[in-house]
Amino acid sequence: MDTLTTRRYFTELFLWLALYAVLLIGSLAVLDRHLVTWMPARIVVGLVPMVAAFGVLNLYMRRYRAQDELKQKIMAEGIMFGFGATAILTFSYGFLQRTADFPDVSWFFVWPVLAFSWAIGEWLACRRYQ
Amino acid sequence: MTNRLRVLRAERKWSQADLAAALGVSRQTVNALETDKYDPSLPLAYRIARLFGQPVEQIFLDDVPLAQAT
Repeated sequence: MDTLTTRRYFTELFLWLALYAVLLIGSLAVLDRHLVTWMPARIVVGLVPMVAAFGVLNLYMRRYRAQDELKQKIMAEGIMFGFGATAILTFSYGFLQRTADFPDVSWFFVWPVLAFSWAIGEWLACRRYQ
Repeated sequence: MTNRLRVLRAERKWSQADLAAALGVSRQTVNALETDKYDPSLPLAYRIARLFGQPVEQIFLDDVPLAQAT
């Protein structure tokens, strides 16, 4: 069993987020100054910050596996709620764009919607077992 | 499903935290088990049975009729 402690989890999370910030700043600096102009290279440079996101994903999976069975159930229910709520919200917005001329929004909005509904889902699941 | 976890723990004068540590689970899990809000997995049920030195069926009481359980 993975023995990832809460302290270690948050330490690693902080380090991955710090790396993300550094990569993002670097990537934007390179792209904004047009230091790279060849489009395939610009795409790669633009995606470089996501390397840190894979680190966070791996960390979360390790965190999940380190929990006891009830906490795993709560985390899974939270994800399930977040997944469903995000699907409903984004799909609903798609219909509103078609039928009521709602404005186009960036794909960046998907993550905050997912994160928010995921947090609500985990809170609800946690309450269920208290 | 109901269980006798709270009684067994009280007999040994253990706190929920003590039992949680002995089982390798969180205190929230012990509380959820004792209040019948969560049924343990088979491995955890056997761990509990081993800890208290009693058969699983004497700790966990299946009082739900088969027709309702499915």
